[in-house]
Amino acid sequence: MGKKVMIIDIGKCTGCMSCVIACKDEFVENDWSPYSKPQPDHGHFWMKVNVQERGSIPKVKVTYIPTPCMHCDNPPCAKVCPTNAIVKRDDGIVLIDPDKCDGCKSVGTKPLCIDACPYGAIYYNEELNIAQKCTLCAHLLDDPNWKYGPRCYDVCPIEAIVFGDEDDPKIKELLKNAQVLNPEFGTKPRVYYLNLPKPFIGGCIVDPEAKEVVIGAKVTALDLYTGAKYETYTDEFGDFWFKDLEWNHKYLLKVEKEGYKEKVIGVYTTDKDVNVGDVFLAKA
Amino acid sequence: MNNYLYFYGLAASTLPKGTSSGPLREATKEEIENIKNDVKVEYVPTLSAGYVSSGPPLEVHIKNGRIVRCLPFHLPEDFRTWEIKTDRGTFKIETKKRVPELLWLAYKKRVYSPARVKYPLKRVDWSPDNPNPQNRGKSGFVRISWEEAVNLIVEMIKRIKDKYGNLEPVLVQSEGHGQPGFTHCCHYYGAYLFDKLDMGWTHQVRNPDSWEGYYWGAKLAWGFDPTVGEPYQDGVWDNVLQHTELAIFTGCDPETTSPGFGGQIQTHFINFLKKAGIKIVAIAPDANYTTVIHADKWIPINPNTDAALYLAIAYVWITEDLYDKEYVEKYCVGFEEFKKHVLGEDDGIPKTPEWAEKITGIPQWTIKALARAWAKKRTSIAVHFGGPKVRGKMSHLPARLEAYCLAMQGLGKPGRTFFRFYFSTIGLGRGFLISHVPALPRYLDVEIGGRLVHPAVGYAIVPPPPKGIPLIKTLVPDAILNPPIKWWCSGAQVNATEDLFEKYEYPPSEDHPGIRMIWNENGCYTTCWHGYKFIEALRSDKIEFHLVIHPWLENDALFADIVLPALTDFEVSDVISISRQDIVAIAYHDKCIEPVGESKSDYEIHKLIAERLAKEFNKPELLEAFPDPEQFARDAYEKSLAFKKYKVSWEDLKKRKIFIYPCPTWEEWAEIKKQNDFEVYGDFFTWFYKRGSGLETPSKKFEFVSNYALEYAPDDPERPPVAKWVEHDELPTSPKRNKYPFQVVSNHPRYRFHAQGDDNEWLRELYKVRGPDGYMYEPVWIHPSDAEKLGVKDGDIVMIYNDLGSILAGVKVTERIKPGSILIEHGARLDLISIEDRIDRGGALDLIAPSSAEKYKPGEEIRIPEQICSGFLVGVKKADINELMKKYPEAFKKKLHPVVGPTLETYLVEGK
Repeated sequence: MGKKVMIIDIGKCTGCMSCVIACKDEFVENDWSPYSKPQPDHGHFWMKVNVQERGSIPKVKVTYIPTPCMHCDNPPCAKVCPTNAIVKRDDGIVLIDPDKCDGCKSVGTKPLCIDACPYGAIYYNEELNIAQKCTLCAHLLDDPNWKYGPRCYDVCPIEAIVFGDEDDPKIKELLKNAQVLNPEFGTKPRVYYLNLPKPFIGGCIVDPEAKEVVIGAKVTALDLYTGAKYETYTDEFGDFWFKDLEWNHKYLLKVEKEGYKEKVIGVYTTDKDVNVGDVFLAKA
Repeated sequence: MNNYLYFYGLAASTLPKGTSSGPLREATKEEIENIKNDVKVEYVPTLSAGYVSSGPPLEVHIKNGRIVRCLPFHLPEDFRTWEIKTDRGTFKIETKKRVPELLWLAYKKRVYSPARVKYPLKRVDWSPDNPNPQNRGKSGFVRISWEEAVNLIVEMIKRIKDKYGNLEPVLVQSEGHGQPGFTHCCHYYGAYLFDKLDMGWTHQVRNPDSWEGYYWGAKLAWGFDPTVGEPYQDGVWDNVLQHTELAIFTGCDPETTSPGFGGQIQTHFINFLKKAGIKIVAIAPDANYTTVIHADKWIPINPNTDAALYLAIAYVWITEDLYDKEYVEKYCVGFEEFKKHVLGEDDGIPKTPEWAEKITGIPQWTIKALARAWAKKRTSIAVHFGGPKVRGKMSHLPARLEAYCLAMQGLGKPGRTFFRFYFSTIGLGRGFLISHVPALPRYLDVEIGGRLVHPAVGYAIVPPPPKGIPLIKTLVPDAILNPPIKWWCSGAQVNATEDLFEKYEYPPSEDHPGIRMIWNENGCYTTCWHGYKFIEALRSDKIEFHLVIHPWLENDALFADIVLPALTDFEVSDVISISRQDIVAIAYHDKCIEPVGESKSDYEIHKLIAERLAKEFNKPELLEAFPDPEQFARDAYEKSLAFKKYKVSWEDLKKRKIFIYPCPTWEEWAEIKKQNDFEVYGDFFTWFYKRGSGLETPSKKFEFVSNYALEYAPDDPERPPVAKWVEHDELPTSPKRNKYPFQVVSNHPRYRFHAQGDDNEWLRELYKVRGPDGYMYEPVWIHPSDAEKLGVKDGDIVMIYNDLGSILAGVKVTERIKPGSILIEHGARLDLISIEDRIDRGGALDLIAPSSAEKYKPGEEIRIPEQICSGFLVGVKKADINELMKKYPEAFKKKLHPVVGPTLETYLVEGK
């Protein structure tokens, strides 16, 4: 059996939250010992959807990033566990043994793994005094009669979540363009992402004298860090969008259109998405 | 995040290895037994729209009498689904999964909700002789037996009959949305029972709320009477995907509103639009859940001002010669009158983009750009059931003007249409949402006879039954508090346009006692419209008895004298009519779990009461109306195509659990369309302008000047023969704004279905705002610029108020709402701090939604009994929760669940 991977396409996800609910449906009030003890009624999100509101009115987008346990190949949670309750299985799944976990009572702290996980994927079950997290539904995967995979994967209405063996050719193909969240953590996650958000800069070019939008104006964005140059033309609403820029770069924006004076729109830093708003062009 | 890196830097201890790929330790026999998938599996119907039809069923796993899990529906892998072939490619839903709406994925929590009514309840200080109406909503409940409850109900029916001579003083509220079960869990049996009882009743007529402006206005322009004033949807996706270039979504949010009507397949259809290269422009005060994911352009607009937008668009088209003159000349009447208004020849105000900018808040250059793009590209308008959409008071004017704009660009020509994200079978020719061919590729016989027909559903949506006295839903509190009331139009959804000008009166005669008893199966009037007014009506001494039949103790039920515990679809065996998605099927399910507490199904409850009434009034025919429930289901099933054509016997269905109707191939579908006259005829699709027969208007043409309006109400300033710009007091331009500076937008809820599901712990946790006092408040969206002015931040509690009362909400500061507007979704559960001072902690906005009756002088005819539940003016201020606690200490002593809020326990009188 190959190692398991999950690939989540952020470009497809609509934030319907079905995965969050399916996860609760599987684990709340259900005891899957020895894999997991019941999840509390509320407060835990073993599948958590992070919501990013981006831009400003009227150029607003929302990106949803479902984040389960990353089932890291280099799991920092396992390293700090004083009771060796966190286990990496041969198929790549990381599990917390609910019998061995003592909530770090033996060392007199709250579970250390919770703070060790840079992705915030581990939760404390106060009632049972154990740390808990996503199991990738290992109790179901190990059941030869179960055919639907992990619950979050099964419930996704538009198959934004893909799950399978990393040896599967289809998965291999998808992995070519996949990224992990925060690779700088160095934990080697087994949960991959497609189309992770990249910043945009957008705006609208207007002729204030004619009180018209300017259609077909050429807008250029110069990446002041790399020298890369991007070019686009305003659409029928006078709008321009540069999508998929790089985070934390500086861009010099210019606009030109025959009959108008060329204009430097400004320099913008992509520490967040940028809506430059209405840009007024003067007649030449 | 960086803090966590510290741990990563620690010297690695030895990484423990798992034992192969198995569990952590060897599982015990019991544990293996527990995990293994050998559970009992049942399908359960889903979908909060109700109306005895289901979306994709849940696959429910049950073990030891407990629901273990609820899975989405999986079509068999080899099942051949439909496809649409166009020059732009083939469109097909590739996945075989059909996922129910979120609320149903979380329904396990609703079944076992702490708010469930577990046994019959009686208000502690109510008795037939001593009703104490002033204490409704205050005095709390005690548990009684079924026998006592039924005795009291039968006694009250007898008293009404003896006192008033008949049962007309009983208002039966038994329509609207709810659970989708066929036999057991639907709330239409009240009207059915009273009809069979044959002693009269007052019939609450479900108003056309989701079609609002189209019904009250657009019908005058284009008819479409059987489809509630919206154009037919025949083969509409073939047309759109082949021809349309631009889709305008005005307040249309299929990502939110479609799942409750068909499960979560809407995203596939929006993705079809994108694949076909169709640009999506969203126009709304808010960036809704569809806009932020899918729209190419968001045009923020002030609430309820799209009438001005449409007029300005028409202005651009007329002055720049950008409309379809030949079409207007050949197929429309009255355009010249409209043109005069647009150019300001009648009122001196040319409806220029500059004029519209001041009203709508949309820059004039954007209005001009939109007008030109709409004219240049084949443009369609997309809606789903959206209630008021981006509108509010007098929504009929913008809807009519929207129709005018569609007509000016040749509505009915290829790619220029009006389409809904609605995939249900609609029962062609059955009188509701009639059309000629289905919206999606389906066999005609499946469309017509595939689903099951329920003998009582007609009470919920079609014209009022002849024996009940009609009372339009929006006017119920006024009919109780200020009788007599007079109004125009029954409001029944399937009515000819003339009915807009029919006059009705309640009570129907001077000596009539009016409403004295309420049979409430809906349970949510308080969260629909002007709830505080309904509460006032419920607490008046006119109401001798208020019965609520509902599974959860919430909203209207808080004001009941007796509450009967209804149950959920999980607790009964029943047939399932799966017709509200792209694939049509019939299923059967056994009971998943035993009824919670002493609850009974809606069917069983009415059967129980019918049996008693049959004796009391010597009416044995009542018993025939309520046969054994399996017989009831079987009778309906044996009229379906599955039985008649596909020869699946009842016993076989019970054994096989599900029968799925086949889908046509693309070639078969092409043949179906051809045979049914669905083709491009001249310039048009035949559905729109069928050879000679035309539209359902007096002229058979599209009417800019309505002949009905001219004939029946030529001088009506509210609904003039030609739709115009009409100022009123809930607009951003109204002087009332000095007192109430915000317009409130109230959309369909993302995590509820109207009022359904606000007790759901898992869902509440996703979106409620936990205030500093720990209470989970309904969120209100406020733009950062307004939040600064108000001095509020994320998580603060604000009071939202107008002349009708106030509600509390939790602040969510966001760029997704236009400055000057706030957004709070409707349908939050009531949790009143003070009934007298009208303060609600639950955040049910519709408590303070104005009633349509207020527009008119007392005694005056209410010409348009519309709903006004969005776009109205309110004030917002930071709430002082400590001050409220001091002033209303009792309200804050209620026992609350930390996430769910009020539960059954909250309202029980202790020790009784």
